[in-house]
Amino acid sequence: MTGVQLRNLGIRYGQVEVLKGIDLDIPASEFIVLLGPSGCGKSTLLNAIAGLQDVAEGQILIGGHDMTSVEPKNRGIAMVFQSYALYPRMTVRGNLSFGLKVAKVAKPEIEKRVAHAAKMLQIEPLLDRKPSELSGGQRQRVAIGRAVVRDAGVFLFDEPLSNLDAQLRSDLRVEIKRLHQRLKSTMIYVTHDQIEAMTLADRIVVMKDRVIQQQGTPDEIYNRPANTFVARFVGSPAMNFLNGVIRGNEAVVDGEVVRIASAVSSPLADGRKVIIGIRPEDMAVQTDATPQGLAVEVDVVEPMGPEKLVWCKRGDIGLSTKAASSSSVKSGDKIRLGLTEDRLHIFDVENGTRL
Amino acid sequence: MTIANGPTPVRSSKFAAPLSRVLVYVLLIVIAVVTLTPLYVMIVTAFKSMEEIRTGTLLSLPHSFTFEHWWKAWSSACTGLRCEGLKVGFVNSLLITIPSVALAISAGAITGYALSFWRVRFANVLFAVLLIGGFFPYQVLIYPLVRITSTIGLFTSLAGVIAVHVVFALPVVTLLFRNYFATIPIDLFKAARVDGAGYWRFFFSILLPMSVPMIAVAGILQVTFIWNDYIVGLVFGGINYAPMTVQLNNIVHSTYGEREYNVEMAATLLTSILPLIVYFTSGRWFVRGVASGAVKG
Repeated sequence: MTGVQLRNLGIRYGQVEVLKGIDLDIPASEFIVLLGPSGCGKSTLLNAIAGLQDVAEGQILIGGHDMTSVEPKNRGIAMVFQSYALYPRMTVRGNLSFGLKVAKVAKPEIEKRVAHAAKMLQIEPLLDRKPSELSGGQRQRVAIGRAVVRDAGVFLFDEPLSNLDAQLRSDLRVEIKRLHQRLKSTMIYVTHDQIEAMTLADRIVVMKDRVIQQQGTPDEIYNRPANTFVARFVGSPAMNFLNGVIRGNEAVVDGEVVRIASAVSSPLADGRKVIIGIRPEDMAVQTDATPQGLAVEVDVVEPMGPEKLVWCKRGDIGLSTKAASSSSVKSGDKIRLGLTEDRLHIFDVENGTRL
Repeated sequence: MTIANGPTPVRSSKFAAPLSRVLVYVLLIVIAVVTLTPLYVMIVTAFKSMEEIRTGTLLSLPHSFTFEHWWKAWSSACTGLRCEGLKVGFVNSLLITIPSVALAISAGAITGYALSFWRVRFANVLFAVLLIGGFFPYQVLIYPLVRITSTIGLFTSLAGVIAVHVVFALPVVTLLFRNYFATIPIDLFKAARVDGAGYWRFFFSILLPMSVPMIAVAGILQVTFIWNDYIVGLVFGGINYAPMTVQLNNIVHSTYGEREYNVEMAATLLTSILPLIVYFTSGRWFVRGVASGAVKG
C-alpha cells in the first residue's frame, strides 16, 4: 500500500509564490479530500503530486520513495479530471488501454485489465463507442476506468464531479466511495463542494489562500472548526455568526445574555470581544413566549422536505435555522431561537481562530 | 399615445423587411455579375476561333465549340524556346506544391504544438518573431534568399523552391495550429502525460487525429497559395522547374506573330483549374476548420 508525504513543499510561478511550506502526511489507503474555494491552491497541490507541476522546494514521497522530480507515469499514480479529458478520437476501449499500450503491457494483460475495469464501472456496453457518443456521467465513468486500469497505488481526483448535474453527482459520489472500499488505494480528492468532502473523506484538509487551515476527520472539521473560515465553508446553510462580549461565564450578544462556559476550552477575560458561531440545526425554534433565546422575526421559510429552513432577522443580523417539516412557522412570525450551549463555537474576533 | 402608435412600427417593419431584402439581393447579384464577367469572357473566348474573336463580340457565345485551343495550350503552345505546352509546368507545379504543402503543414503543426503545449523558454518571443517574419513582403526577402540558396547550392533547384515555400508558409501555418491547439483543454495533455505519453506520442496518437479539420484548412490555403505563386517559382525554379504560372506568363507574353487569345484563355483556365477544384470540393471543410479553430483562438 502506498502512502503519500509532502515535506515543506513550495511551488512558484515565476517569482510568485503559490504554495509554501506545505506539510501533509497521507497514510496508505486513506481517502483524503482537499477542500477549499477556487484559487486556494488545492489543484496546484494535486498537480504537483501528479508530477504535472514543477516543485520549487521540498519533497514529495510516494510509497516512501522520493518522487519529487520523477515523470508522472512513473509515480504509480492515476488521475481523473474535471473535464474528463478523454481522448476524443479513440473508443472507450482505446481510452482505457492507451496508458497500458504506452507502457508496453502485454496484450492479454491489457484486455484482462480493461475488462475488469469495465465490469467494475458498468461500462462494458460502451467499450466500442467514442467519447462524443457518451453522456457526461458515462464519460466520467470511463475516465475513472482509465485510472483503474493503471493499477495505481494512489488515485488523484481533480473535481471529478463538478461538471455533472446534481443527481449524477450523488450517484457517482457513492460509486467513488465504493471504489475506494474495494480497491483500498490511497485517494486524494480535490473539490470545492463541502458535501462531497464530508461524505467521501476519511480526512479533510481545508485550504484557503494557499494555506492549510485545518486537517481532520469530517466530524472534527464539522464539529470543531479551527477558525471562522472553516466554520463558514463547511455546512449548509452556513454557520451563523454573532458578535459578543465576554462577561464571566456568559457573553452579551446584542443585548441578550448567552451562556458559553461549556463552549470554550479555558475561561476568557471579561470584556473580551468574540465571535459566537452556531449551526442552524443547533438552534431551536421556540415561541415568542419562551423566556430565553434570541428574539427574531421570521423572514423566509424554505420547505426542504424532511425539514424547513427558516431565515430570520434580528435588526440587521440575519440568522438561519432549521425547523421540523411539521412546524407551522411562517414569514412575519415573532419567535425566539434557543441556543444549545455546548454547540456554540467561540472564535477570536481578530484572527478568527477557535478559542 | 403610445398605445395609439403601437401598431405603426410593426406595420412598417413588415414592409421594410422585403424591401431591404430585395436591395440586398440586387446588390449581391450585381457584385456576382461583376466578379464573374471576366471568368465568363475567358471561358467563351477559349472556345472561339480567332476569326470570331476578331469580330469583337466579346460577350457573345461561341458559334462552334472546339477543344483545339485547349489541347494546344496543354501540349504544344510555345513557352519561350520550347513548344511543349503547359503540361511541363503542370508537372513542375505538382512537384513543387505537394512536398511544399506536406512539409509546411508538418513543420507548422509541430511548431504550433511546441509553442502551445510545452513550456518552451521564450515561447512568446519566438512566436512573435515568427509572426513578424510573416508580415514582411515577399519582394523584400527575394534577394537575400537568392544569396542564401545559391550559397548552399539550392538555387534553381526543386529543393530550393520547396524550401523557400516552406519558409514563407511557416508563420501562417504555425499560427493556425497554435491557435487551434490553444482551444484544446490542457487536461487532455495532462491525462496523456499521466498515461505516459511523451512529446511525439501525444502529438501523433492524440493531437493529430483531432486536427483533421485544421490540416484540411492549412492544406487548402497552402495548396492554392503555392499553386498560384509566381514570383518564387520564377526566381528560384530556373528553367527546369518553372511552375505552371510562370509558363502561363511565357505563353501569354510571347511576342512572336499573332496573339492567340483563345489559346491564352484556355491556358489561363487550365492553370487555375486546380485551385478552383480545391475550393469547390473542400469549402465545407474550410468553413468548419476556420470556425473550429482559427477564429476561436
